[in-house]
Amino acid sequence: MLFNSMAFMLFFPLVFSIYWLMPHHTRWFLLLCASYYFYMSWKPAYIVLILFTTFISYAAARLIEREPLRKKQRWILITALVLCIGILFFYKYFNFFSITLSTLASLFLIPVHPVTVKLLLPVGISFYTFQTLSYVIDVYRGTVKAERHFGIYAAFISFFPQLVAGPIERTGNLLPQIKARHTFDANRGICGAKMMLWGYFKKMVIADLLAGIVDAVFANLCGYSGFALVLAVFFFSLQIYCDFSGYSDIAIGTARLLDIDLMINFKSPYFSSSIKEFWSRWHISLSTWFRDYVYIPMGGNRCSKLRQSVNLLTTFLVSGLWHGASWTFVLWGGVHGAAQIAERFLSRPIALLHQKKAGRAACTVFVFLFCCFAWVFFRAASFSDACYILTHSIQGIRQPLLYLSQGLAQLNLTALKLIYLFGLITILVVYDYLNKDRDIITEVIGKHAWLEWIVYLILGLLVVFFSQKGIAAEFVYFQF
Amino acid sequence: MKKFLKQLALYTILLSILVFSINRWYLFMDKSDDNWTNKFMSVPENIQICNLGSSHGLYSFNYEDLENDFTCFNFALASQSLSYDLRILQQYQNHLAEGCIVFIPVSYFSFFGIDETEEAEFLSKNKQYYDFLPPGKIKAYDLSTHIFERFLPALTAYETLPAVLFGGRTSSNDEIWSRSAQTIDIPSDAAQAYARHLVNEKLDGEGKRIHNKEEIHALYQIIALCQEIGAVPILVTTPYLREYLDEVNTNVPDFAEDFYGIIDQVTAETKTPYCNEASSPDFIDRKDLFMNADHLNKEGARLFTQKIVFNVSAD
Repeated sequence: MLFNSMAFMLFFPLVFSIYWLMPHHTRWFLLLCASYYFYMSWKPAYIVLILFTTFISYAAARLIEREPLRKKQRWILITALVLCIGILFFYKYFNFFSITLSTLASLFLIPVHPVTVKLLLPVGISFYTFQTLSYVIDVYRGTVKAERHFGIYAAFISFFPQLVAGPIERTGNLLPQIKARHTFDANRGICGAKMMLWGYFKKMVIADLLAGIVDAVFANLCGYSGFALVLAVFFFSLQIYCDFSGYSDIAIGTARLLDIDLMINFKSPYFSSSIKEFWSRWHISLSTWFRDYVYIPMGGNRCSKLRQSVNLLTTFLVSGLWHGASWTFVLWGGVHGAAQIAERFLSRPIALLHQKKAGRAACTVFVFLFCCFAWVFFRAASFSDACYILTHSIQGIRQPLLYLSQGLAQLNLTALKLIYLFGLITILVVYDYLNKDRDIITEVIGKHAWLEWIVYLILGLLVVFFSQKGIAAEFVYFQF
Repeated sequence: MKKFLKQLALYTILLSILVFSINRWYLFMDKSDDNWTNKFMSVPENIQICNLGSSHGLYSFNYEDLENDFTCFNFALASQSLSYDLRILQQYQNHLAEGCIVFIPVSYFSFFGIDETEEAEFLSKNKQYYDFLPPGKIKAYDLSTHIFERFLPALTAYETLPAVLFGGRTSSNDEIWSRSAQTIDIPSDAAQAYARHLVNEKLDGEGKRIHNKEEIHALYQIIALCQEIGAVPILVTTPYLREYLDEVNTNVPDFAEDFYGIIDQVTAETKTPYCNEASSPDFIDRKDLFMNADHLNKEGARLFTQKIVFNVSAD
C-alpha cells in the first residue's frame, strides 16, 4: 500500500479513528495488525520474513539479557546477526555476489556458471533488518533493555509509517513510545497533518513530475545528448530528494497523528556547504546508523588519519551496497567516501572559505554539483550508462545557445513547461532554505494563524491541481 | 480531538470551495476543443450522411456545401479505431435516418497492430471518449479518469492551468485544418506517418505485421449494424499524397496485397461497396489540398466530400 494511493486514504483514517477510540493498553495490537495488513498488501507471503526476523531478534535479545557470560552473549549476537543479515543477503545480494564471483572466476579462465535465484525483493527489507540489528546490538551493549512483550516488540519492528522506507528508528526512541500512554494533542495532530501535506507536495507534485522526464531519458540514453543529459541528472537529484524526503515527511506526519515522534530524516541537504554536512542532513537515520554500528566500532576517529580514512571509505562503500545490489551503488558510496576523505585533508582551506558568505555559497553550489555527479552512478543501470552520461553531457557545449536549445527540445520542454517546472522547484528551494536551521512549520508559519491558513490552502491547491493524476508511482527507496 | 477535527473540516471545506471555484473559472475560460469532442454535445436527429473513422475521417469529410440539403455529421476522432467506430455507431444509431449513408474510412493501419489497450498512447487518447460515451462503451473504463475528464478538467490541466485561467483559450481546430502541406517537409512527414501507421506497435517480434482480429471483426459488426438499422455502409480509403504512398510501397512491397486482401474479403462477404481514393489523381499531387502527407485540409475535404457524395448518388 502506497502513501499516495486511494487505499491508504481509506486505511489511515480508519486506523486513526480506531486508535484513538481504543483503550491505550490495546493500541499496540491495532498497530501490529494495521502494520502487517499494510505490509501484506504488497505480497502477503513476505510477512513470513518479517515474522522470522522479528522472532530471531526478539529471542536473541532475551537470551543475551539472561546470559551472564559475555562470551556466550557474543555468540548469541553473532548468530542473530548472521540469521538476520542472511535473509537480507539471500533476497537482495545472492544473485549479485554469484554473478560477481562467476565474472571474477572467468578472469582467471575458470568457467563458473553463476547460480541465480528468481526472487522478488521484499519491500523495505533493508530498513526493517537494520532496525532489528540495531536493537539486538543495543541490547548486547546494554544501552537498552530487551523487550519482554513479543507483540509490542513486533509492533515496534513493523510500525507501518516507517516500515518500508524508514526513518530507521532506534529502540530507545520508538519502542517506549509504542508502550506509552498517549492522549491526543490537537496541535501535534495539526502539525502532523501539515508534514503529510508537505510530503505529498514533494512526492506527488515534484518527484512524480520529474520522474516522467528522468525515466524517459534513462530508459533510452542513446536518444539523448548534451544539455538534455545534464538536465536529466539535475532533475533526478531533485526527484530522489523529493521522493525520499516526501516519504519521510508523510511517515513522520502519519506517526505524529498517532502521537508518536519519528526522527527527522532530511534537513535541507542541498544547502550543505560540505559533503560531511550533506551526510548529516541526508537520510539522517541511515547515516547515524552506519556511524554508530559500522564506523565507530571500526575505530571511528580514535585512530590514525590513514585508518580513519579507511574506516570512512569502508563505511561509505557498505552504505552504497546497502542501497542496491550493484557495483554502481558501491561506486556511488565510494565517490562520497573519497570526497569526505579529501575534505578532511583540505579542512583548513575549506574552513577559510566557510568564513565568508560568498565562499560558503560557492561551497554549497560545489557540493550540490558534486552530489549531482555522484547521482549519475546511483541512477545509471550500469557503468557504461554512467560513462555515456558523463562523456556526452558536454557534447556540443562549444555552441552554448544550440547546446541549450537542443537539450530542451530533446526533453520536449516548452517555455510554458519550463516556467511551470521551475516555479514548483522554486517553492521547494524557498521552503528548504527557510527550513535549513529551524523547523519552519512550527516556528514561523505556525505562529501566525492567517499566514498558516494561506500557506496551507495554497499548498493544498498545488497538491490537488498539480499532482500527477492516474498514477500512484512507487517511492524510489522502496527498492532498497 | 474536537479542535483538530473542526480545523480539518474547515480546511477541507475551504479547499473544496477553492478547487470547485477554480474549476468553474477554468471551464469558463477554456473555449478550446482540441479533441473535437464538443460536436457530440449536439448530434442532430435524422442524419442522412455521416462518416466514422480516425483523423483520416475527421479531416477528410467537410459537409459545409451539403448542409443546406442534407443533415450530415462527422463522427470521426483522431486515432479512432474501428472498434470505437462501432461503439459510437451503437451509441448514436437512433440519430440516423432510414437510408442514411455511412462512410466507413479504412486506413492502412486500420487492420494491423497490437490490441489498442496495449498501445503506449492508449490512456491519453482514450480520455476523449469520457466526454460523451457512457461508461459501458469506454474501453478500460476508470472512474477517476471519468471524474477528472468530465467534471474537473482543471485538475489535469497542469502547466496550462495558469495560462488558461488568466489568458483564456480558444479553439484552433479550424486554423490547423486550414493549413497547407506546401509549407512543410513532406518526405519527412510521410516517413513519420509511415512509421506511426505501419511500424510502431504494428509488427511482432519477428517483424511480421500483426493482424488485429478485433478490429477486423469490428468492421464486420459496423456493417451488420448499419444494415440492421437500414443505413447504407460504404467503405472508403481517403486520399494520400504521393510521398506517403511511395513510402509505404517502397518499404513494404507486399502491403497492398495484404491490406486489399482483407478489404476484398469484407466487401465480398458483406456486399458492401468500397471507394478507394488513396491514390486519387484529383488529389495525389495537390499539396495545396492537404495539411500534411496523409490528411486533407479543409478545402481538400470540401472537394473530396463533394466528389464522393456525388459518386455515391450517381451510383
